[in-house]
Amino acid sequence: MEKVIEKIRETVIQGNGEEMSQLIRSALEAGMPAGRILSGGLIDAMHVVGRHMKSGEMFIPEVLLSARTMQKGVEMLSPCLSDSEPAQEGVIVIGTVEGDLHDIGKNLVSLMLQGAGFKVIDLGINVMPSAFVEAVRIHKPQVLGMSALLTTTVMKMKETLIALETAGVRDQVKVMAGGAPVTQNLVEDFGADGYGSSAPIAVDLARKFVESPS
Amino acid sequence: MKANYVQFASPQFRVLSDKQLEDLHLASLHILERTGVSIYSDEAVDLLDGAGADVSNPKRVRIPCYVVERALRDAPKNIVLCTRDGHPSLFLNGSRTYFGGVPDLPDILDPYSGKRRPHYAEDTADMVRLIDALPNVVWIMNSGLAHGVPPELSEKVAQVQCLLNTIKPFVPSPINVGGLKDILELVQIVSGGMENLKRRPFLLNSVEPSTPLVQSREALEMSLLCAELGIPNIVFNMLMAGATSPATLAGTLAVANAELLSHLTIIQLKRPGAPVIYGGEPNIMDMRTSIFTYGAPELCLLSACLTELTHSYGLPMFGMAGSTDAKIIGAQAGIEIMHQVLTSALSGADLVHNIGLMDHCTMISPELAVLSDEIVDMIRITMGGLEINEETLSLELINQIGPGGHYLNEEHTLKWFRRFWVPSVMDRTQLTQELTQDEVLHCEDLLRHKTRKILETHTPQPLPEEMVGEIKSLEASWFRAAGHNYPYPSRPQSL
Repeated sequence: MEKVIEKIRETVIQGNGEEMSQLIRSALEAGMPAGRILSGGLIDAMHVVGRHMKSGEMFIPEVLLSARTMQKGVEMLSPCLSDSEPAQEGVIVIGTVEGDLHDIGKNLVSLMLQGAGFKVIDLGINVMPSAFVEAVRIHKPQVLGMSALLTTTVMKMKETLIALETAGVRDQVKVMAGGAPVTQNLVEDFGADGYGSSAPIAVDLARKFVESPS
Repeated sequence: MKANYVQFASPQFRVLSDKQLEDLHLASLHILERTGVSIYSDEAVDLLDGAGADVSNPKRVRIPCYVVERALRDAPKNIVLCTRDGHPSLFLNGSRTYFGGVPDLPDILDPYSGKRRPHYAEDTADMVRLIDALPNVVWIMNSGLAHGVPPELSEKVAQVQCLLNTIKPFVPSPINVGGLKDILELVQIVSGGMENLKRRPFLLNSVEPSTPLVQSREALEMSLLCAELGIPNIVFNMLMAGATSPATLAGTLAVANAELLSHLTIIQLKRPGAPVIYGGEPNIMDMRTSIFTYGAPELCLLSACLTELTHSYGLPMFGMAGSTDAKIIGAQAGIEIMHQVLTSALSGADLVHNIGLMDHCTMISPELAVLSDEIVDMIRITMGGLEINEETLSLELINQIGPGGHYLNEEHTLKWFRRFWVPSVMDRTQLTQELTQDEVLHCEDLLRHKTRKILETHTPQPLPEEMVGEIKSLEASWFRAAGHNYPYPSRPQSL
């Protein structure tokens, strides 16, 4: 069984969707638990991809290909998973703050979070603090991610955190922030929980927040 | 007497043929007609509507080519900028290259400690004063943000320091039309009113489209105000091939040009003849680290191509050079900067910004600015070409000296050797018993000494005291209006 899991892992790392689909199909038919395929074949594969990305062995478009392949695998497995085996690692709401139209960094983080097995609710660009609050109420994410490129829109992150406090939902969610003008100091100043200085680090942070919510 | 004789006054450099430039132009027009651009300003949408564009969906405004072509005809082909005291200084018409500063960096590589630290308002004052002394860096930007000052005031504080510390023309980077109005109020204290500022402009505004194909409200409002007032305005974009534009470089250029053309068109519709400087930094995304990589050779190539396209429109080009992804001053910085300076000069970009930028646009270095000044000085020789005539061929002298002789003692040598380039921070010493490898001053040492010397001794031309008083009062009023204390905290002594 380990060999099959290993092969599935390889196909995800290589971004070979067709071969992965065949292997998953035969594994399921052979009675392998879907949850085992998910964790050993897909989630673990993306951990490896994340390491390769950090070390510079894999390039972003290749990482995203693996992520798309992995998600195809998740779709195949979802109907077979039991209630106690969620298809996703967690739920994340993400958006670019009010007044800012820039989103390439956010989009990259969003894609990589999906690749890591998270359900991502992307609110898009120019997101008002109230819209972030509403999304937290509706989707009940474990993590909220805010992005900004402009030095002035960075202040909207502070406003959003205040809005979450006022609405009484601040302690329900871990907040991380990223973008060119964001620094560790600013993040601490604002009262956010983490600084996503790059896309892989944002993914690591999200994993950490979900695994140990305190 | 010569006939039909052509002499090159500089190297002749081209990346793209006329036909290729036409292909790019047509590709951009196609994008504007078929794909469209998002326009986030009602006034801009109305202007385009009036001109015949399809504005049924403001997120996808489609602009017919004849509207764009008319704008290109209307845009002025010669823009002159002055020094703070009104002397014509920069002639932006495709004939000269002017290297200048960089804005908004959060950190500085301290020239004394050699360490990285936050950038303060006093650092803008120092950087601007430094550039004031550098002969080859002839205009400025605000260098960096003012740490410790509220973000909405940081850029304005930096502009005050720009105005106080140099007479060279400067380019502020306000983030919205309110900020621009404040800057205009500030500079009018020196120019003595808007009419004088328009007649002898010593500042240009700058705005950026949001790639791909989005024109934000903030950028458009500023451009429309500049058009109305006749203030020269730089429209420049930054693209990352593979991320915000196609991974193929030609596609990236087509998108870049489409964004710029649409923004230019809106400006010319507002006021035909409004002065615009056109350009940007088309680039790749580094696919290992995701940064906008300043060291990329692709950036140099794409800048050169965009320069050629901009010049084919008769417009002045806003380019880049003098920047590195490195975090220290060493081989990487030297390589990347030389590549950029050389390609900018060879392609003839007009207003070339970014002198001093390090670590993918997060840090400025005074020493790097001094190094870049040296590099620009060096390539003047390359860019000067070669003059071939009777005197320079010196055939009589060659014959007189004959085989096996030497030229050291000749009057001719005394006259002409002075044109040889002499470095100020490059090491060309010969080692001796007294001067060993460990004792010789290397480039990095010479750079450090020269930078510190300028910072410690150079005094820029001051403004009259009453003007300085008025400027400080205006600055204080900004702080009070925003509910903050003034004066703002100073740069700590301990740094």
